[in-house]
Amino acid sequence: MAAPIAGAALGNELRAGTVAKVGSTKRVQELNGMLHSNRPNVDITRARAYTKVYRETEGMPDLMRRYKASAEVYRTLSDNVYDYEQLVGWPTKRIRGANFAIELHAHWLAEDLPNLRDRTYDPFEITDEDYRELEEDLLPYWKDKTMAVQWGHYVTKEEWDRAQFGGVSDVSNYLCANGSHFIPAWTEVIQYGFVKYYEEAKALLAALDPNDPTSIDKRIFYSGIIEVLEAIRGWGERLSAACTRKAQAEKDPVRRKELEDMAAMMQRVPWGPATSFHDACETAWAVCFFLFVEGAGPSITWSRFDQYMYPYYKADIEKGILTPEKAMELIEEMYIKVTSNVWFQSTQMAYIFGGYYRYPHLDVGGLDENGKDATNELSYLCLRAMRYVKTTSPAVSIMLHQKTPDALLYEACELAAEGMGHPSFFNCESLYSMLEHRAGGLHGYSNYTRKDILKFGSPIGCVEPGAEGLQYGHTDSGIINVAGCIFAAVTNGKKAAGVDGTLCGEVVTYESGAPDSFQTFDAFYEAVKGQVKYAIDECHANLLICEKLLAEQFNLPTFTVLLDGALERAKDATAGGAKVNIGPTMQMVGFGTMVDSVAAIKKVVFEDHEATLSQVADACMKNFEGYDDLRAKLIAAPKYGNDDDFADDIAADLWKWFADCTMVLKMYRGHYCDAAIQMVQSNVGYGAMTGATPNGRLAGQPISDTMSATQQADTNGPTAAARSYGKLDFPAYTNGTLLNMWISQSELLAQ
Amino acid sequence: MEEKRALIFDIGRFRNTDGPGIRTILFFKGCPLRCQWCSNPFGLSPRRQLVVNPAKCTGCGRCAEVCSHGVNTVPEGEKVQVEFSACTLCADCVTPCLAGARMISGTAYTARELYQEAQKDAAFYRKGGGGVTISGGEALLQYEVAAETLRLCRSNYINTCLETSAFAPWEHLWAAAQYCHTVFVDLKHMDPERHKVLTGVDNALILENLQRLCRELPRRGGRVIVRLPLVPGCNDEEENLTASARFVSSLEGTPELNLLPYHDLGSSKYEMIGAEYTLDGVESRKGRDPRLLEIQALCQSCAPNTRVSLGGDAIQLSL
Amino acid sequence: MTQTIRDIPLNCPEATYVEPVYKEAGMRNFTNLVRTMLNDYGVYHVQFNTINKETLIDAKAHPENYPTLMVRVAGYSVYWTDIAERVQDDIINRTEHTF
Repeated sequence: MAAPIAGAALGNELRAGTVAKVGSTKRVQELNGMLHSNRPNVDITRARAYTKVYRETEGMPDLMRRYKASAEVYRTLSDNVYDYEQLVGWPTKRIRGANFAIELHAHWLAEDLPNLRDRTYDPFEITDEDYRELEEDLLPYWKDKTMAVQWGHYVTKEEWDRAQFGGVSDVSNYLCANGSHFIPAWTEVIQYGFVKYYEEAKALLAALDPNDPTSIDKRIFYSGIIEVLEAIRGWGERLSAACTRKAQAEKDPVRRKELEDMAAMMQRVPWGPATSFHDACETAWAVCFFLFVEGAGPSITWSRFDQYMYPYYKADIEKGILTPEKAMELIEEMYIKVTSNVWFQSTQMAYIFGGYYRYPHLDVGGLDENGKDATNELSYLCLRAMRYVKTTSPAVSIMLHQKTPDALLYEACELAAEGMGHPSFFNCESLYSMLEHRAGGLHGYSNYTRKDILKFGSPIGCVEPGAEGLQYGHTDSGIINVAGCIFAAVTNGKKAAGVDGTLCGEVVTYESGAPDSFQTFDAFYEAVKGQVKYAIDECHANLLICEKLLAEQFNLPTFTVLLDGALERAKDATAGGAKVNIGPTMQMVGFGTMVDSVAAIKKVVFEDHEATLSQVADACMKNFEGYDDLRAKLIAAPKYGNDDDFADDIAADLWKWFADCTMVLKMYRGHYCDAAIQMVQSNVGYGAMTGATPNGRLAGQPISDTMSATQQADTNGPTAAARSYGKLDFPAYTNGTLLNMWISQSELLAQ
Repeated sequence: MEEKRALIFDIGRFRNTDGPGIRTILFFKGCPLRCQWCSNPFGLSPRRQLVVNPAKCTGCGRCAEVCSHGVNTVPEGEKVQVEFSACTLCADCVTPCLAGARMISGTAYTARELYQEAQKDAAFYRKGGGGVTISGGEALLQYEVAAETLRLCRSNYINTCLETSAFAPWEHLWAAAQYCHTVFVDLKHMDPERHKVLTGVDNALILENLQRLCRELPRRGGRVIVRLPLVPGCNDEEENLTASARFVSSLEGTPELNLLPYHDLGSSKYEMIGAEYTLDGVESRKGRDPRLLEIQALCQSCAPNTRVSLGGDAIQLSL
Repeated sequence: MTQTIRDIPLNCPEATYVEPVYKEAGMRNFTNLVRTMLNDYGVYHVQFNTINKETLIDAKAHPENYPTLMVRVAGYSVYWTDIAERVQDDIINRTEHTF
């Protein structure tokens, strides 16, 4: 038995102290050390504000209550200013804190609070005082009001159980992550500040005609937005005062001057226009964590940072008030601060999404709005900063186009050789093509113009295509475990006995036919598709309910303000305020396992006639006990990821078919569903719930990750794997695809 | 008439040492030499053979059950013991091995099939001048298929390399080499006696072929790179290094001299075919090891007009 | 003409960063792999783990020696010591490509 390292407790202990003092300057090294000397912890400021407002506003319209609660959060956010900082503001009282959304988490937390400090995955620290307040006051108020609880009112007990434990289709992530996957209108908010939206809302409110029936809801909307924006202005003033206080107490004259400058900066931004690169970084950081506090979910995205920041960088360099080193120091500080945003999740979801990571994302490269290569000095600095500062966040990415210079690609590959997993490489052409069809339905088009796409298009979170200020919708929502579908297809709809969770051995989907009823491969193949389709449809029905609840009760004023045109439309982000509304989407997990299983059955059962499907079904049910020979034959069948058309043709067909099934589904806000294949480390969690599969995989073992070939099944090297992947139609996956590959470091670096 | 086939023991894709760019390497089976340091022992025998990887064996005993010739015995709680000489190559034991520890090394391909394999990665060759490299064993034992493969690749705009000991009749060497952009020739030792001890054959034919190749190949637009495997205690003594470098610098067209540090990555492969690695204990040197840099400087001083490169991936990319 | 990082003299006297020694051919072919996969074959996204497998196996046995080791799980990097043992196993079990 290895040392008990599961979970994060040890990791935090190990990193505490000075061990992580890396970075380009002493300031950055100190900040990095400060990050790592704090463990993930719970902050109840937001929970307290929401509870206070909701208690005081019984009987008021839902939207008004939400907006007032958001404003109250800004009024009570921490005003800590630490040594060495140049950017001001923290989302929590302590570093690495989570200001969690009690209105989404209370139902499970009310039961699991005693385990929070030492649960296996993602434990959180909490002070005794806060613990008591949560236990005695806050959680009892919310535990019957969360979205998950309300969703339960709309489904039967059986449907609820299947969605939670069936292990085939799952929406539990969606129930706890409202407000996520978003690129705010960076260019605009940095250039004009929140004051622009404030004046706009005031003007729109003043222009309302009370004799127009649509003005009733609009009045509440605009008044609420104005209250939230005033609170944001107040936050800036409070932080400015905090900087001044700290400056007065500071002995070192150099640092005192810095703090005085920071106090002045907080008078300017984020409320007003940024006048320098430093100001612009402050707005980018503040807006990022505002959204992380207001929303409960992941993936607030910096998107094309090297584009919208470049004018400030260039102007400051020309004025002589900035050097590349100073710019890099600020960028490194942003990386450290955004890493401190930890994701607070239910114990059940931490099992699947563990690691605290909250998916911030930053892109460089790509094309400009005229289709010209957009690479600039900041593109290089952003990649280089990650090599120096070595943080997990943000996910630094390069948007690669044929026109991208080799030098930038080399810089990105040198970062990759460092072994941190950064950066992600994105293909611009596929991204643009996905955006053209985003949420547009099968064969349809999105509302994006070509200019929107070129200027603002970028990935969000892991890989989801999005556009700055133009798109809203939670993107990692419905999960379809297609490896579970394969098990169901050979076992006539069952979940395996003896795996994780409940409902084991029972029918969890539908009866698609007994194994001996399939005379041809095509008949069996239809059953596989039938099982997947069943899961998709079930998931879709559940998602519609979530969408309705979100739109009615879980509104997001700060997200709304930062959506282009949402104020004019007078619609909250959750209710369709964006130019392009997307999500929830269907995520496939276990693609490689599904393809390899279908290929193995085609080869062993229907071509070589070495076994019957009933035998395969029995073998899967019994986890291959007594079926070693059959298992060996199934393992020897062709596998996806080897440039072998036998398996790759099946992959290409199932790939496209899944997307087609998904894109015809209409969502609550009127647009269409998108397909995706990604889902983080869920291949381990869902693997634990999935019985043995016909590719020879044993029950409970991880299923294949992302869209990658099954672990160890791709034996012909990276070019063969790449060619297998290259046979698939990427633009069909309008919510993105994720591919993991592993290149040995000893091929890239001399020791 | 049936097309001629060659026995291939491996096709390696995405390799980066034996030629410029991303390369597909076709390993021809069978070699007339027996170099003590050979890192590809599967390439020695010209016949198909059973390969068993003891590192992967779990001792489950399934191979013993299926073999009717008693090749495999699995003592209780131990790994399999294989009597390689009794194997009839029926391959019945390969699929049943759940650990994937077994294979039959050696598959027969026509030149056209080899070209098909090589062209799969054509899109990857486009950047960086990649292409196909024919290696071994000694590909010239099957020179007809090697030559035809190279011709097909060359006429389809795929960069072509050949790695050879040059221990073959000139006609066989030239049949293949004439289609090559680059031919790597190994120079294992300058002293005929010592060469015989280390590799089992005399070096006269090799030196003669090398001289002639350096004269002929550049006229066809190809180049020669002479490779010196640096095996400590075998051929890295100063006298041999000096003689080798002087010889290379005397060749027509001043071919590049590429120093190839010894590694023992092949040593574990010997027991997989029931053979013994005789060179155990020789130290591998990597990267910028000072001794390697010393050797490079020594060779450079003896061949001042020659490009002396260190490491398989350090060759000049193209002419 | 756009400046590349190599044209910007980065002068950070307190830097802790030590630039590794790259294998020229390995890096060149790695970039070519990315280019061809994405720009020619249309693959939308790829990300790489590049830590050697033996390192991860050792890190699982001796986490105290690897406090800041990071790996890519899927779309994000995490500290090795922050992920569950079975996720560590899954990552170790993935296919490591050598050239």
